[in-house]
Amino acid sequence: MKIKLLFLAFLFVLGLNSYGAKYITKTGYAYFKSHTDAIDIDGSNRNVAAIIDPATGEIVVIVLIKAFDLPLATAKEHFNETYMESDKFPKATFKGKLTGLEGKTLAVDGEYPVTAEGTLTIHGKNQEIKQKATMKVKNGEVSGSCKFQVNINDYGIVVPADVKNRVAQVVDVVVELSVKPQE
Amino acid sequence: MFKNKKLLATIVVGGLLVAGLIIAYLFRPEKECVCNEKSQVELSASDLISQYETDENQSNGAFLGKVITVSGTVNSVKNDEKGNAIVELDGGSIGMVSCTLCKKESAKVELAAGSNVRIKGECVGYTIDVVLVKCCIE
Repeated sequence: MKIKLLFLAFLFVLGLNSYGAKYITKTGYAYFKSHTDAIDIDGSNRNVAAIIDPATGEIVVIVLIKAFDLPLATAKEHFNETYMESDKFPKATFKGKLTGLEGKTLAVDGEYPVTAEGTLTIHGKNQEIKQKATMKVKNGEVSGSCKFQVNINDYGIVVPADVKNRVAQVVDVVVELSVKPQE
Repeated sequence: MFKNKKLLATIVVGGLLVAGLIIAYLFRPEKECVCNEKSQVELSASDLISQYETDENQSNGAFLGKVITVSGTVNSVKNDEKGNAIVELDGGSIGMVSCTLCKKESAKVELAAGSNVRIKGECVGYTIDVVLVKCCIE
């Protein structure tokens, strides 16, 4: 009972305070790739948390920056210390709405095209974004995926002049979430 | 002449060694486990969760990016899509301590829900859970 009350309090803090089942994951996937002629840099993260309220379409996604795996230790150091400043800005978040999902219970198998609209916060800077995404329901399992691009200038990420040709201004991002209902 | 050749050879070999070391440093792979690293903090899962729920910023200052050892009761064990085991430790709250074990530890993990365990890992922050990665069972 105490846990349930705490969970409701937690959802309230996130702004997801309607009744009904919320869909949750703590092991969502995020991937980014910076492509330049000089070098490709990519990283993946399997500790993405997300909560979706299908009744209202509200969604919160939390990505821990230090949880990104990059293949090379030096690249990871630069990513955390120089570009993302992850000690200062440990999370990227998306808070918004999935339009096209309102009123659906996600109980019926099918594919639901949706639009994610809301505030994307990276490196402590907020940007309003609107992006097409897809939700799928198969055998009761609910998953969603979204591909988009991030212009690092929009988020105040500064690349030192001597490595400007090695870091893309526009980075490709993929987010995949398999969520489960939690009352 | 002989002396010059010897000097030249020394410079070339030395230069190659230095270049090799620089390349090895720049291209060293990211560490997969923290098994051989010294833990900077030891505490219980419930204490860690409680601290994060009370003050996330202060807790990040204390734990973020650090290797810590957490003791607690196993709530569940599952695998991520890469086959790494994720051990969730009860935190006495809605949040748990989620520990992603590194590959070599995942292969030998035999934990059941309800068992007590000590896990060392790198703290990467707080979502719904406090998340530890590159973990090893102590």
